[in-house]
Amino acid sequence: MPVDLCYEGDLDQVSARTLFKLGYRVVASSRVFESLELEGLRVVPRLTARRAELPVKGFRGVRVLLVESAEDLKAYQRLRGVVDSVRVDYQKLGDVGKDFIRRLVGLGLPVELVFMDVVRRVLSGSSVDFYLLLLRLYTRGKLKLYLCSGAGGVGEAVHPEAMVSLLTSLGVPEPYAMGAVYRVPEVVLGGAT
Amino acid sequence: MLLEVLVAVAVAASLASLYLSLVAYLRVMRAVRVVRGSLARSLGRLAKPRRRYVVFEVVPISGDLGSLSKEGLEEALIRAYRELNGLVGLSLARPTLVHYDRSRGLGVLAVKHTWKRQAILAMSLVREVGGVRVLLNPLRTTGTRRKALKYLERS
Repeated sequence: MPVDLCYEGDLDQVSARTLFKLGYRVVASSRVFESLELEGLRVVPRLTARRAELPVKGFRGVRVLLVESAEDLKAYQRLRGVVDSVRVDYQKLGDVGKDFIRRLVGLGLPVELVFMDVVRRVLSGSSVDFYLLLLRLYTRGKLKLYLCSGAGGVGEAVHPEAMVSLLTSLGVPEPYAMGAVYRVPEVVLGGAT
Repeated sequence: MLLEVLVAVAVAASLASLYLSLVAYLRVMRAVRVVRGSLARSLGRLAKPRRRYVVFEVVPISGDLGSLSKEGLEEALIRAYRELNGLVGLSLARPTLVHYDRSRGLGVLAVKHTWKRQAILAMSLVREVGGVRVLLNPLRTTGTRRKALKYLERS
């Protein structure tokens, strides 16, 4: 079941219909505060929080930790059960050391990759080394990873097959790419709701 | 009587030996195939390029779908493809819009099979064609143009 765990745009009847047409059945959005259904599309709340804002109590939805520095993963054992996945802000993070990767792997939570960010970096000719490192760790089974659209509106929505194509273009074998787009988000959603 | 038994035993023995030699032959052939395949993979053998036909739907976000021309759509697709894969990728994949039904917003893009994934990715980068904001939604991939058109008729 295709799930987009980071749809950032407004949700109305038209956009819900378009997302449904693209194949999505569930979308996580930070603009809703409780689960609802629009034109056959299930919308669940999503929360992106910094380390200092955790734990968030009484929230029923997908909780994502935004990692902006290596310090955010300190004492990572405490994060288990508090968040459902991790998003790494590559620009703010700067250099990625072995220690950071060790903590990220040790955390055991899925890492969120945003399609729009990766494509923007590819098209602007910026380095995608960090993404390649994460993808290599994913294909070796060291960490879980999923891809979401990060669309700021329905005009930026992406078909799940395009996300699979992005990962295969970056060298991920197709079964793993399918897993990162279809299977892992479903598991994250199942654990969150 | 004894002769008949001997003949039966000889026939059975010959059948058994035939079966065993056939099994051995198949096993050896399979091993040869596996070795040959892995050697070809390690040498990076070139796959024979075949055409794939990606059936897609144009979803309008704003504007009129009727004002969208086949030429404009093909140009947008090729521009996105070139931006993503460069000129070498473009000449290897040769993406061509072989059919576009303007009234229903359904089209067929032909591309070499090794570049199908890149073509689908390029489709997702097309956001605007001739002033109309659109999304391209890949529906199905077929091996022949006829099957693609048949799928278009049915959908």
